[in-house]
Amino acid sequence: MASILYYAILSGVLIGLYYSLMALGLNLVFGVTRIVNLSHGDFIMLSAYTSFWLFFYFHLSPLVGLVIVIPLFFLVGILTYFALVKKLLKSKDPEMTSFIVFFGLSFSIESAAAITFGNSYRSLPLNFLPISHINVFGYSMPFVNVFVAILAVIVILFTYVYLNRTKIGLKTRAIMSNKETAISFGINPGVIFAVSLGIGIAITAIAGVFSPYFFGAIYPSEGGIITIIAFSIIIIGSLGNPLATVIGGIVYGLIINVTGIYIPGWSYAITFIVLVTIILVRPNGILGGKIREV
Amino acid sequence: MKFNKYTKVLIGILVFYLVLYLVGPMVYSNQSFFETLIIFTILTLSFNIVYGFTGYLPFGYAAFFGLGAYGFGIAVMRGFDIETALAMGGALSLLFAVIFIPMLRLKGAYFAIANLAAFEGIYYIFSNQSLDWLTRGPYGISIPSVYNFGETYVASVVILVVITVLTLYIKTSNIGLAFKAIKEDQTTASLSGINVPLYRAMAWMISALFAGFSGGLFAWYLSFFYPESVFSINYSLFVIVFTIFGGAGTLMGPIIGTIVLYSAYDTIGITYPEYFTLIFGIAIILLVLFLPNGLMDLISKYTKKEMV
Repeated sequence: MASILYYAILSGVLIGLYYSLMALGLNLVFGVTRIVNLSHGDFIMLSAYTSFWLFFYFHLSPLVGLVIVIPLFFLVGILTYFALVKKLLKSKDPEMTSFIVFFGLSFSIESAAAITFGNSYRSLPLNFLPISHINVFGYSMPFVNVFVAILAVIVILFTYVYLNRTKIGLKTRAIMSNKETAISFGINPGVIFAVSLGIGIAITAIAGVFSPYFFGAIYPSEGGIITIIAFSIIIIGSLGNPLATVIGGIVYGLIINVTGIYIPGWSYAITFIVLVTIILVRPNGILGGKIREV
Repeated sequence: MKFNKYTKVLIGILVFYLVLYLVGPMVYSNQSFFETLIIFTILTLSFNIVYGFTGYLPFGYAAFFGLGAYGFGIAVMRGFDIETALAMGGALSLLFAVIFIPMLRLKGAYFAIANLAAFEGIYYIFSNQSLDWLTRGPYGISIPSVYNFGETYVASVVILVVITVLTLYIKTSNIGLAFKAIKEDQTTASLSGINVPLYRAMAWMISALFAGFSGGLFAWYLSFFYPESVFSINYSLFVIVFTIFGGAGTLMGPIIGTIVLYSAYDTIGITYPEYFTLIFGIAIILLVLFLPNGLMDLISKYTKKEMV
């Protein structure tokens, strides 16, 4: 049966595009600010809940919900900059401090969510799309996978245009390649950091709205594992290079999908073992330069 | 007889242990509180050896705790005696530490993420249904026949004393100096003739071994547990908060940090665990931003004396 392999590969690539979208915002934030956002997955969870409550109370479909979720989480990003990042960038070792601060933030968000929303699993309906399933190589594939993959490509292209064709994108890239030089040329890093966090978290929130279709359900403690997956993806691509995220996402999508079809019980264990191995063997990512020391 | 500063500190701590752990249970009847307190002090002191001394921050540290519990549980189920089972707990944790030695070549974000991913991988292996014959998979390990509170308590105190003495020994010896050099700057350390890969692997392995022992003791004390009750990322949160609150890299800091914060957790936290992870989460943010060197640093600034 070769067609199941073809199906697994095609669907792995499509899911991989979703995973790229999920990790893209994280890589943008890291690339620009060098802040390690260990509560990334919790922003996904919060945006999924926002979309769920919008549906639950106002019967808004996730697509309409996006119109509210995107600006809302852009503001959350800006707020995160002023509340935490600004202060921690001044500390002695900002990268190390950011780990601990965002590790703490992650626990705070998860516990607050569990207290407010309860621990029950929530899900979103699929009927916002005209078709529910399509036939691929004789197997039925949820149409939402195709739809979100297309959306992911659009957001990735938007990020490309933002970084390469706009004035603020040019300044952002200047900060990414050399912060000190960029500052000496009159670029205000605070503004760039705040906007990048806003955009990064808004992109993350888009992925969050569709997360129930890929992670099965919405629940308060889902963030931790999503953060690990997202970080692994951007390390496989290349840490600090937002567009390389696509490679990491597709590699991850293929591993999880192919193992999920052939050895379902071991799919997660194997995926994490492969991720650790890739980070150990090529910590610089598939596209990156050399970073290992001593 | 004249004692130097470190001997005095050690004697002080041992007397303190004696009072707290011998007299304590007679005064306050909640004996399991003292047992879990000892287990978490051992875990925090072990964590301090790698984070406090060498500066590596392993977020997936809870994996060593879980591995220790599983090493112990599996050995007991296979009919080994308690001493061997405890040794197996430490050994299983040590084995994985050895496998992950290459991880120490990674820095910053890479080390943190590799560590978290390894934690998840290990959890999925030990909770896997198809390893039912070895680990009992998702159903958890049940070893009620070996439950013996008195023996567990004595063994816990012994291991606590060993890790306390060991921490002080490392801190005052050349090994501790080498660890400190690695923490400051690895390149400079290796230029001054310190075998960096050897020493950081040493800290990593000692730390994992004792974390494994504390996991083994925990398994013995519980005598029934699920994979998620020992492989819980919350234990990583605990040891990080306890260590930073007290003062990383000191001996008294982690001990005091654990006693203060774990007592608070035990009094209120067990009934409302979510409120407590919320409080610990916020505490860790505020600590790192406003009191990055912990309580010991605050005391030494106030008393103008260097704290051990």
